[in-house]
Amino acid sequence: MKIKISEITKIIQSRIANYQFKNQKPTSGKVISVSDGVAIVKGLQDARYFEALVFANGSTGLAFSLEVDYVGVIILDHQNDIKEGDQVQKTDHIISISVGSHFLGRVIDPLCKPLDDKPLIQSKQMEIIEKIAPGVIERESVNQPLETGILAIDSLLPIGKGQRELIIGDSQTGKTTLTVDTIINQKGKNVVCVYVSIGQKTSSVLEVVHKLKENNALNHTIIVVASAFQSEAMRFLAPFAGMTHAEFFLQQGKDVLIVFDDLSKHAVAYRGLSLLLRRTPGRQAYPGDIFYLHSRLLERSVKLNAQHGGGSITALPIIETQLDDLTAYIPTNVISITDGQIFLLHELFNLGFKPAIDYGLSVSRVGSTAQISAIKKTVGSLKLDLASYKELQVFAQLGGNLDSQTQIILNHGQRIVEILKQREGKLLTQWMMVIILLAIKKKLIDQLQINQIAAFKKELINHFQHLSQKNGWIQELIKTKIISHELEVKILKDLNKIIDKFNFLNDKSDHSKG
Amino acid sequence: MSKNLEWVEIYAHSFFLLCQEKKLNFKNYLQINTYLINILTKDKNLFWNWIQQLDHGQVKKELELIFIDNIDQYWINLINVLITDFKIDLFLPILFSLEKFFFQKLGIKVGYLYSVFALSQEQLDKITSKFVQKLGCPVKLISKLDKSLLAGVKIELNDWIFDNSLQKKLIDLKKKFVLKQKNY
Repeated sequence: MKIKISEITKIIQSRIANYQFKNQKPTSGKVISVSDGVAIVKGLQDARYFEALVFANGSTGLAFSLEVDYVGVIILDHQNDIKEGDQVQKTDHIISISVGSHFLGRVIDPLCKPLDDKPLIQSKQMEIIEKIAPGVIERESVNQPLETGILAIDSLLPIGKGQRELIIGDSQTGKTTLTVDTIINQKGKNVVCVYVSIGQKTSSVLEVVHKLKENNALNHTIIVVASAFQSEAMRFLAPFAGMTHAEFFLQQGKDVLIVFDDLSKHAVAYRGLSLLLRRTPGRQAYPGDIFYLHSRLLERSVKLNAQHGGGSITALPIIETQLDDLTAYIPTNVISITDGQIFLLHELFNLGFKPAIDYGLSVSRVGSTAQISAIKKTVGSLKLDLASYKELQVFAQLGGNLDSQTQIILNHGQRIVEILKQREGKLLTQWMMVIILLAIKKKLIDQLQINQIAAFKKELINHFQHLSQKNGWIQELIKTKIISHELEVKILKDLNKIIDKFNFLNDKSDHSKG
Repeated sequence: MSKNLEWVEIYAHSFFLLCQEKKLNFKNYLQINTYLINILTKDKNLFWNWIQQLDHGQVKKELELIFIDNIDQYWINLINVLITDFKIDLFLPILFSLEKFFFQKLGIKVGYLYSVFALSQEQLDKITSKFVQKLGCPVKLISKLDKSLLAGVKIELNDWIFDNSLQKKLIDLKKKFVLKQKNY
């Protein structure tokens, strides 16, 4: 059949005359293929990035890859029930999760389904999980300390509220322990904690939950879990879901601490999804936007100014390295995004230095602005002393005679390293740290044998804790967080008494030997 | 004729027929047409940026904002139909084709004025007014460059050719010499 040009002209003429704009956007599409938690859907040209989609069997999907003629969807649940040819419905909503304070003390998955033995959480407030980070106007510089309770960190690598400090190291170097201890230390300090477990073994997550429960720290914590057995989609969503929970408390002007354990597994999950959706692989097969993925997540941690509520989100992302290699792709990416890193060394861990922090490679870019005045005053040249000790330690290992000055530096360094050792769960208050730092600054610890340092520290803690319960002058330090000259003299007097006690014991043992 | 050229003619003819049917003001339509051609040919990038960003709902607003105030609904409908048919890239050729239809309808004689250098609008208007006086009907001269003329101008209007170029004079001279040689 041949259509005459005059007929076409007539049709077009009438279309131009009577054209009416109709918004005929397709609201449903069809599954073309489905495999490994990913579906290719055709007919959803108007789907938005991160839009929630509903499959015929009731499963939820996430529009993840918007191509010219198809949409790559990641399936969030019941992926085995989805068949080729199934209908997929648009919802016109960016994927959201319910948030609220009743999530505190709960263990949930990224979509807020409970993983503990408690009932389902009903919440009216929903929040989009992928949000744009607050801008410059809403922010202020980090100026308040987030107390970790770990002497080495609070004195040498202070973390401020609103900071992003990376915890990096090989497996089994105490990364999770360090963050869990920090969460425990927030008890009673009006800081809400969110622990996001990504791709961890269920047993490891259980350990964390038990530890927090034992220390009564679960009540101020939300645990978001996407275990190793869960789909890559869930592991990919987990940190975003955790951050959304944190932002709920931020909006109320609260301080929040969020731990991502760990982002290297998150990167692996994202790589898996991207490869399944046939995105072009880049270095180590990661997609090109892997940097942006982590930067946009971590940029959401913030210190807001007083006009915007004054709340903060402090992020402690964890990255697992292979053979202490800091120069791998994901570690270098996250190092450049964060405001500092705490590098944990396997070698130090095995030698019994816990926390096994490499002070040379660790840094906190916020610095002393996130320290209380008393710590700032007492910490003195601690980092410098440690650096010169590390430098001379190499020469000392070569053997030969050392001059007296070098020997003094080495002795002092050895004692600093010893006193900075801190066992899991043995957290210190800020004022206690001030006293220990004063003992270091005044080189009182140099009078002791290395094997006496641990006992000295224990004795010191017991003595001052006992004193704090009854003595007025120590209360002044706790309340004001400022160390005056008079106070310093009083503390030194007590410290000298303890040192004398140890010296007396030394003399006694020397006599008995003689 | 290529498929696209066919479509250009079809759309232009359809629009012209509509204008005839609705007894629209052709003079006004020709003005808008010329204005659109001028803008879109002046900066091709601007045209493509504009076309590519255009969405159904935005056509009227965009046209009014960037180009013309109080634009007629049929122009907006034409662009919308082109967007729907994925033929918006033919918009400029359609405008050229429409121009011919409008000239014909308004009895405007269209001619081409060839010159070695670009003429100013004043010069063009002067020449046009001479032709209007001579022919007694409206004339539209389209200026084109032709370096082969060497100097002077050449005008083509319907079947009529006025050649005042150096090229023509040299050819005539050559012919004269050849003829003289033959006569000898």
